[in-house]
Formats: sequence, structure tokens, C-alpha cells
Amino acid sequence: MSTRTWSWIHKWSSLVCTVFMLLLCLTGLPLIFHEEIEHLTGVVEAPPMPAGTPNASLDRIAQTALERRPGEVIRYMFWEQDEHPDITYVSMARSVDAPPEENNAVIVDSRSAQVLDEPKTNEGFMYVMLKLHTDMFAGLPGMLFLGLMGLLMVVAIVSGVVLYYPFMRRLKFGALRAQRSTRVKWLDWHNLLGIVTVVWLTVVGLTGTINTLNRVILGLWQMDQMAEMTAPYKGLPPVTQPAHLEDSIRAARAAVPDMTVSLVAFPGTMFSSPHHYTFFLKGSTPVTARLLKPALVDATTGKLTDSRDMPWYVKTLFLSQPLHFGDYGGLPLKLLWAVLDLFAIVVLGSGVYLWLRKPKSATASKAHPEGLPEPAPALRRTNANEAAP
Amino acid sequence: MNRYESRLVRTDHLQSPGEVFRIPIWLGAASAIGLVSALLGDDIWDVLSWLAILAPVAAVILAWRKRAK
Repeated sequence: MSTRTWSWIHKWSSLVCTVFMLLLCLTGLPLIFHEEIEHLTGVVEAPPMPAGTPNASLDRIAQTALERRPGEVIRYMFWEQDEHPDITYVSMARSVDAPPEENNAVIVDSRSAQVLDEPKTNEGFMYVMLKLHTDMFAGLPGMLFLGLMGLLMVVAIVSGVVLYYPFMRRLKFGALRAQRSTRVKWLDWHNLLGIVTVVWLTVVGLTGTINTLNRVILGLWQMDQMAEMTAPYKGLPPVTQPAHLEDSIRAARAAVPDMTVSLVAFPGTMFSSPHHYTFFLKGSTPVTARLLKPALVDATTGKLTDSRDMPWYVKTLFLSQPLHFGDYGGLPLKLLWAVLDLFAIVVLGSGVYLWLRKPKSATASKAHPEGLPEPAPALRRTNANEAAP
Repeated sequence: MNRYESRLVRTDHLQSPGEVFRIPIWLGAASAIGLVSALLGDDIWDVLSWLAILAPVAAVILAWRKRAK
């Protein structure tokens, strides 16, 4: 393809996605530090108790939550063993099939089974940032749209790398010409920051796009592995006398002894079947902590039904999460994530500027006393080269 | 354009793709190593990740300090 074609691809793929990418980069910046921000703004902590205080039974914790919000159902319970080892998070809703966004949180002390807090999960600065970043308050269509914009950005990156060559044939790496026109100055910054962030931005873009497919991927898993594991339950009436949760979690732990339970999805939710508690267990290394393994426990008998490794497409989704969030290498990695994010913002902004200040064709250069900026001759030269046999 | 700028930022010949992309490829490789290593383990793997992802940031700082004023 000619440089002219690549130039056209770069221009249009960028123009379409730039506004959304700027939104994502800006809202993503505070989201990188959401843990730190939540700590500063005071998330609830479990009160100190003597070390080794035993946990209350899971059934009692569930009972506490149900009494706190009468008429509602528990959809999920989850734990953050590293951050808050003594807290059980309970996510409730008006019904099992309420919209997935509905999340009435009850935070329970795992040892005393006392309610510690009922935080509002759908208000505040971080909530707005998260919504703008994931779906722009437009639900699944908004989410998929942003995923498409992520793909367009990857097209812009690839075409940008191709164009980097004709622009830089006469320039050393990192050339920043400060004495030339404002346009040349921003062109140099665009090229430098663009080329050094290629790998990071491609990874963050692609993993972001994969994350937008989470409901699609979850649906696939439901129809595929989940359907296989729960085939014998097909057509059975819904659970009326649920088994003890505590017995169920013991069955899950016994099935996968080297991992810890991080989430339990109740029967009928997106992450489970109508007849099972699905426990998701995580390992202890950065990778295995992300590759959750499901253990299905019969919600009537409390006995294990099956536990399998996730299929490749769910594993891909799980591994895409840390690579998008940058939350897997401590605070220094988050700071680097933020710096690269700022670089990306400059690349986007300078890209728009370069498009607005596009040089007129050679004949109309009188309006620009400096004449043609650097790239145009470089581009012409390449075209001439390509025209030769 | 003055000669000073010429020496600092321009090459004396038309570069091949290999020359133009040599440093970007190294920086890209460092970024990739940094992205993966923190996934593989903690402690030393995290430190490796920080150093590797610092490479593209350091390249920008160096270029900024050397910019043709």
C-alpha cells in the first residue's frame, strides 16, 4: 500500500475514535488508582479482634444480609482476602433476574456476622468515571461501541507505525525540533510519544476491547461448559429448600484444595446455573489469582457437581483484566500506567492539532510563511520511491 | 534551519527501516517484558516490570533533555 493510503487510514481511523479515546484516557486516569482513592475516602474496615477469631458460618452472614434488606435476594458474595481479610461483601438485588447493574451492597464482618456498612454503589465521582469509561451510561450497546472504538485505535496505531518510517527517515530517534513552527514541534512530540507507547497502548486497547465483550463471553460459557456440567439438571424445578451455604463452600474447598474462594454466585444469576451455587476459586500467584476456577455445588444437596478449568476464551477475558487495569504490579506499575496514559493523551491531542493545522497543498502554501513543514517532502520522496520499479 | 539543529536531529543519510525502527523495537520489547513479568510473579518480577516499562518513559525524558533548543 502506498504512503497515501496509509495516511488516509491513519487519518480516518484516528478521527473517528479520538474523542472516545480521550474520554477513556481521562476517565481511566483516576480509575488506575481506584483502590488508593477508596482508601483515602474511607472504605469501611473490620474492627480489630484477637487474631484467630473464627469466622461465623456463611449461612449466618447470609441471614444477616437478608434481614438487613428484607424482600431482597442475595446474588453474590465475595471476598478480598489480601485487602480486607475479615470482610464478606454481599451483593443483593430486588430479584435474581434484576438488571445486572443492580447491586445493593451489604458489607458484613465475617467473624461477628455484623453489618459494617451499606455503601451506595451507584453515585459519586468514581462511579461516574467508571460508567463513562465502561459504557458511557449507555448499557451494553455503549460498551460494545467503546470496544469497537478500541479496535479502531489499534488500526490507527498500526497505520501510525507504518507512517513513522517516511516521517523519520531523515531524523534521529527522539528528534524534537523546538525552533521550528508549532506544527513541527507537535509533529515531533506526536511521533515520539506515539512510537514509544505503541506496545503499551496496543495491549491496553485490545484488552479493553476484550473486556467490553465480558457479557458475550459469559453467555458463551453459559451455553458451552456450564450447560455441559449442568446437563443432568435441565428441566428440573427451581431450588426450594437450599442447602446450607457453609456445607456448600466446604464442598467447593475440598474439590479445589489449593485455591481460595473469592466469589460465590447464587442459583439463577449470570455466573451460575438455576440449580447451583457456583464458587469461584483463585490461586496465589498474580496469574492464578486472575484465572478463577468454578466449582459447582448442587444448591439442594450441598454436594459437588463438577469443577473444571475455564475454557480458553474465559481465561483470555480473565487475563485481559489486569493487563487493562495495570493493577498487578504494585503502586510503581500504576504510576507508570498513569504516565503512559498521559503520553497517550498528548498523542491524541497533538493528532487532532496536526489534523486541524494540516498544511495546504504546495501551491497554497503562501498562507503558511514557513512553507511546507517537514513531513510533506518526506512523503513525496517515499511516493516517488514507490513509483520506481 | 540552522546547522546546530541539523547535527542534533538529522541524519546524514536516508535511513533504512532497520535504522528507523531499531530503538522503537527495543523499547517495544522492554514494554512487552514489563507487561508480562509482573504477571509471572511478585517481588523481583514486579521490579523487573517497573524497570522495563520505565524504558519508554526514560527515552522520552532523554529526548526532551536533548531537544534542539
